[in-house]
Amino acid sequence: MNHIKLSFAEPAWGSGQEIAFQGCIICDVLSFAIATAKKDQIWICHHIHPNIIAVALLKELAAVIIVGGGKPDPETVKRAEEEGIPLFVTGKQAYDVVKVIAAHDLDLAEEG
Amino acid sequence: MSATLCKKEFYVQKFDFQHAGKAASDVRKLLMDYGYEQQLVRRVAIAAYEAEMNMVIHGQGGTLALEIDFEYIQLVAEDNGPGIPNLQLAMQEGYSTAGDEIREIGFGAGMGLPNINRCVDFLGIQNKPQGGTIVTMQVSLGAEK
Ligand SMILES: Nc1ncnc2c1ncn2[C@@H]1O[C@H](COP(=O)(O)OP(=O)(O)OP(=O)(O)O)[C@@H](O)[C@H]1O
Ligand SMILES: [Mg+2]
Repeated sequence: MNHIKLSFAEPAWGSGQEIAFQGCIICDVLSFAIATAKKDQIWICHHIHPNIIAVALLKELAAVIIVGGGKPDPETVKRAEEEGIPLFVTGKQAYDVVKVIAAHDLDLAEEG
Repeated sequence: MSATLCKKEFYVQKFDFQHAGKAASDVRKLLMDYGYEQQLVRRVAIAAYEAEMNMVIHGQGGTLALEIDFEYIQLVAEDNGPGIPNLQLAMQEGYSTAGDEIREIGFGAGMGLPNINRCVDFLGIQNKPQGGTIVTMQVSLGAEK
C-alpha cells in the first residue's frame, strides 16, 4: 500500500488525513468506473453529485478527488462523511493531480 | 427445500439523483451485517446499484426487493416505466437511450445491464403487459463467480 497526504486539495470533510492507496482511476463515466475501478484506488472525477460516493463505496475506493474546480453538492459531502469516504476538492486539472499521486506511487517506481 | 431468511423492499424515486444509490447502499450494509463474504456482497451491491439507477433514469422509479434464501440472494427491481422494447439491444455494451443531460452527469454509457450480467448468476428481464420492467437477479450462495 502507498501513502499520500493530498495537501494540494481541500478536504470536503474532516482534516484531510493521509490516504493509503494502490493506484488511481480517472473516469467520468460511472458505470465504466464500476466495471474497471479496483479496491483502494484513488478516483479522480469531475462529478459533484452524491452518486460518486455510492460508486466509491461499491468499489471500496481509497478516496475521491473532484478536480477542475467543481464544488460538491452538500448531499455529496454529507454522504461522504456518513460513509467515511475521504473526499477532496481541487481547482487543479486531472493531469496535474495524477503527477503528484504518481510520485507517491511506489508500485510505479518498481515497474520502472 | 427453499426458505426465505430475509425479505426487504426499497423505494426508488424517478430522477432523484440526490438520493439515488441509497437502496443499493442499504442492501450492501444489510448483507455485510449478515456476515456474507466481501466478494459476494460486492457483486450483489453492484447489481442492486445498476438496477436502482436504471429505475431512477429510465423506469419512472420503482421498488427494489431483496430476498435471501438458503441457496441464493435475489434482487427484483420492478418499475412502471416504458419497459425495454428490445432486450437484446439493451444488453449490448454501449447501447443507451439516455439523453445528453443524463450523460453529462456520468450515466448513459450503456454498461449498467452488462455490469449486472457480469455480477450475477441469473438475470431475467421481463416487460409487464401494462408497461414497466421487472429485472430479476440472483447470486448463488456457495458458488464462486
Ligand atoms: N428499468 C428500465 N426501464 C426502461 N428502460 C430501461 C430500463 N433499464 C434499462 N433500460 C434501457 O436499456 C438501456 C441500457 O441500459 P444500461 O443500464 O445497460 O445502460 P444505461 O442505463 O443507458 O447507461 P449506464 O447504465 O451505463 O449509465 C437503457 O439506455 C434503456 O434504454
Ligand atoms: Mg444503466
